[in-house]
Amino acid sequence: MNAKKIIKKFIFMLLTLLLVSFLVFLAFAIIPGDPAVHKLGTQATPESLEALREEMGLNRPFFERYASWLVSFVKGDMGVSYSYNMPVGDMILDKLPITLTMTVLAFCFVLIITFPTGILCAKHNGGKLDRFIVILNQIMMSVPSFFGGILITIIFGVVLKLFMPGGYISYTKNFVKFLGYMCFPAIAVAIPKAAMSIKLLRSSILAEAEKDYARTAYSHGNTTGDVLIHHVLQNAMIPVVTFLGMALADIFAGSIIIEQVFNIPGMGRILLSSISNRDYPVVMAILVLLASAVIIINFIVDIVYGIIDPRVSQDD
Amino acid sequence: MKRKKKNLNFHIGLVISGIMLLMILVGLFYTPYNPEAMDSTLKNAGISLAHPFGCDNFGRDILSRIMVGSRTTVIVGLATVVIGTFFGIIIGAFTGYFGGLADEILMRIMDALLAFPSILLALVIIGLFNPSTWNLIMALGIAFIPSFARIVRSEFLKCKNMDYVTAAKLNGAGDLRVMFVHILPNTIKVLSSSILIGFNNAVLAEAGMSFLGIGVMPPDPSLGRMMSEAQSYIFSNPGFAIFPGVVLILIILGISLIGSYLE
Amino acid sequence: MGKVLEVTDLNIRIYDKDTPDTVVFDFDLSLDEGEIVGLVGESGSGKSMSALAIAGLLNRHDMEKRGKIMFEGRDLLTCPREELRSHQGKDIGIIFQEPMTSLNPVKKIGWQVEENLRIHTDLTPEERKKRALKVLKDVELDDAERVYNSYPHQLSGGMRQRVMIASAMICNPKILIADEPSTALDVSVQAQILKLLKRLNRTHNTAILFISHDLSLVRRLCERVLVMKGGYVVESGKTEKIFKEPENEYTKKLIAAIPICEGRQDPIDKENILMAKGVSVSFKEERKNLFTKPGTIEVLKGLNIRIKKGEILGLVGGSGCGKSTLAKAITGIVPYKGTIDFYCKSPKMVFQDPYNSLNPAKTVGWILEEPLKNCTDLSREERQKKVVSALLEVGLEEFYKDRYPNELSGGQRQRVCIAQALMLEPELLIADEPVSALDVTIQEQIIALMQELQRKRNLSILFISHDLRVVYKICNYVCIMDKGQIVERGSIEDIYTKPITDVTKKLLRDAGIREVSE
Repeated sequence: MNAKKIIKKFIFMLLTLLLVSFLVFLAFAIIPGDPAVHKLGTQATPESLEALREEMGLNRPFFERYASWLVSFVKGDMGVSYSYNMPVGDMILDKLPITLTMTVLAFCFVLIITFPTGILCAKHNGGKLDRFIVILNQIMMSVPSFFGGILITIIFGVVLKLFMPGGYISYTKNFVKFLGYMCFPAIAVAIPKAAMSIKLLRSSILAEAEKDYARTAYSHGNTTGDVLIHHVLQNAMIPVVTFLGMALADIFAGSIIIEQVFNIPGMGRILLSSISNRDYPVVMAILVLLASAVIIINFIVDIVYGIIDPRVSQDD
Repeated sequence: MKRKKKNLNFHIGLVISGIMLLMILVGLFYTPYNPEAMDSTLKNAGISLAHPFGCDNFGRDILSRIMVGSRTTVIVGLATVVIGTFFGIIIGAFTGYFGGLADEILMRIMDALLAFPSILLALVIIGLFNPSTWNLIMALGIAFIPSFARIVRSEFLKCKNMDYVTAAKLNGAGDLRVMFVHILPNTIKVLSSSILIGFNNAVLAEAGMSFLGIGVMPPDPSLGRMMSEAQSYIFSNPGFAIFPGVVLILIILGISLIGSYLE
Repeated sequence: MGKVLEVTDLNIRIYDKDTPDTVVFDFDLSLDEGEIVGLVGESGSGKSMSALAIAGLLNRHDMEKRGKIMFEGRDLLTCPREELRSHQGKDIGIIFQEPMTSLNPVKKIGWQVEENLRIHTDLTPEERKKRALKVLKDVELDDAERVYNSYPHQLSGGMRQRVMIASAMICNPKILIADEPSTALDVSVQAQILKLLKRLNRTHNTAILFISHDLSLVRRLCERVLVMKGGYVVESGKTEKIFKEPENEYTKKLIAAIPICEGRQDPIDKENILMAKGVSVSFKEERKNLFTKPGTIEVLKGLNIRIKKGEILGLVGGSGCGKSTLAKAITGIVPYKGTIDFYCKSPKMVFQDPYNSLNPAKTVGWILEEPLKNCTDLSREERQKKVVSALLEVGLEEFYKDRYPNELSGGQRQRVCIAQALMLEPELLIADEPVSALDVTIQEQIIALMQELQRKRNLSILFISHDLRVVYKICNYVCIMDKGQIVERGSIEDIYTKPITDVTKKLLRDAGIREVSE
């Protein structure tokens, strides 16, 4: 992929980020409820409310407020939490590694499971193993991650006693044990995603193997395995990459739920508590960060796409 | 051979969905016990003939609660899909067919909205208003519009330059007639499989949000809520969590089997 | 000359639930060193099936096969897979109809051309590259180094087919199977590819099995020819002999489909039905990025055309000359500058691809009824009556009104398209390449139908085509179009015998007509 195209995509990504931040800010500006009242309580005098509004800048025009919010946000100043009275940035920075670790772990599991299984299935298409995996896949796809988490807790925690249910260990205390504990939620999240991507990879390989260029490859004297690995796989990857990008974003956002199952104090925990406390600066910050992560992932997928499929990177 | 296997999938899907539907329909008129009735002597009671799925922490019959709870889940899923599809078709059809500046702007906004995973969007919408079944439906419905709009739009883009559309225009069909009588039926195939996928996603989202405690509110039972309540009793009463989970899986599995036939 | 390939008594049957069984019966073929043999037939005649069998590319599981394919004393049909593979690409090369889909879209050309060497030789990467560049030059790709580093989508259709030929030829195979190698290409490129094949055959002494549905192409290239129909070889022998004294009915029909020049009646001058003056159409270019203004491409440049009442006017030109745009301008689908005056009701149109000009979600009856619903006040019963009579008029029975388009064959679909275009009884019909997506014998039927309708209804038809041979069968007058303008017009006879412009001469050459009429 040439540099010009990447720069173009990059600019496009920045514009989308801008739009996302604007939508979030707009949404929180028009929802009913006065942040000042939230902060001081309903018993506050009108004078003190007005003073606070002035101090918080709520009386300034909308676009001015947006601009100053955006500028300080980019600088890392995400405001102050209403309920904890501490900088939002610090709160998030504390929790981000936990959620990030789980996301990366889960994504790695998806990758490790998907490729060998998908290729194996396609190669032995119609065989016993293939049929078994197809059925297993169909069921696994339907397991919601939080129920998968509960099942894992029951099987590995209660029955096999491999870990202590709810016994989260902070990464600052013991990193190895933390990692070990995080594997279980990661597996719970990875299972349905891996099942879906195996299904996609398998059917994509089978569809590509029917195409004319595969026939050409056979006419050159390639073995079935060579045709699969050297010709078909790269083409079959194209839709899978898109799916994996979406899956990564989904895992990241879905961590909110799985953290509840395993009692992990990550981003999900602060998001939930700040939603119920109407702690808007925190909610806004997390929303913008999560959406930005999704947009950045999409950008990376686009670039990977260009590497796999030269047709995309063509300068048209 | 391929067709045959797909047919089998489809039939299994129909059977599973049929059983689930039957359970929900029966639940409208009859449940073995009153799903709200508490009995302190039956707290976390195990499986028995009288209570085939056991009882929960308040001594309520789990089977009865599942029958009513899956109804809530399915209704929320259906309503979400209806809202998402309806507005998705309207937005997608007009933007795809007419194009132009409005299309550019709307699609950029849809793109930006798609950057928020739908459950997150719904979570925030509902968190800012109050959790209730209706708000949940609205929130999920709105969160599902962008993806439907995108699908419909791309189908309309594909179809609008087909020769049969040109022929229809030459034969005197107006824009609205071309859009909704000529093109729309051709999107059904793609749309129906994404409706099924959308339904499953909505069911998952509902269950997830109720699990977090910001979806369906008590005393209405919902599969997600039951699982979250069951979490504290995982040692003493694992069935409390497992049975609603299995029912949830069956609902999703049935629909996705039917959906894989349509693909 | 020694025999390189001897196929005897080849029988193939493939079971497939979705499509009718594909079969080949009692297929015999012998191929001498350095010989070019043609294999002719329409789609479904079994010609491609036989070729794939010889190349060892048929899936071996769900088919029945009998007979012998002898190559160097071994039977390729029964030999172990390993052995078959050692010949594939080395001794037997094959090229296909669609060079775009037959090349791997994500791999560089060089990698794909070299593949045979990687599999069948021990050459070092440098040697391989040298050989690849040499063979690319050999197939007349002058900028071999650039092509070597390109991806398939960066090349034109003709170049891609040359690449396919290069990759099949790199090991100097004894046999090259060419399965409709020029069908998907533009007529002018077609001629170049044929020339190339002929040259390679001479210089490398490679035997070629040339498969085509087009008898005139085969005549230009092959010494011997086999004609196939319904899985059987119905006639075989020296090409010239078959052309002079065809024995089989089907062969006779195929030969009759090739036009020969003969005198035609001059049409009587009549009043105009359409008069277009100075028609210009330009399209906006795709915007390159947000900041540059998109340019415009002028497709029609002040074009003048006149259609007379009751005539079938041919409009012929190569791809990209703007003929389809003209059709769209006349029917008002694209905006234009200039004037188009009609002396009739608004014209209707028949499209090239009958597979996407019928709404797949609706029944034939619904499709035919639609114009009446939109534009007339007829009652339901009256509309139904008209639908049925329209079906009968285009040679379809009444029950077709409950069928969906995907249940019809290409020819039947095109009949429905014509019926739909005639529902509102237009006096002028624009037919944009109405037969070029159809098989030769079906083409004949559709053309006959259009002629009949034209006589019965005194229709005027603007018949657009890229192929002068097709136009010859139906039109009296022809306009030749190039680069958005009409460059020559005249009676079909004049155009055939006394072409003036180079464009016309080239079109005639590409259609293989000069050679036939000389």
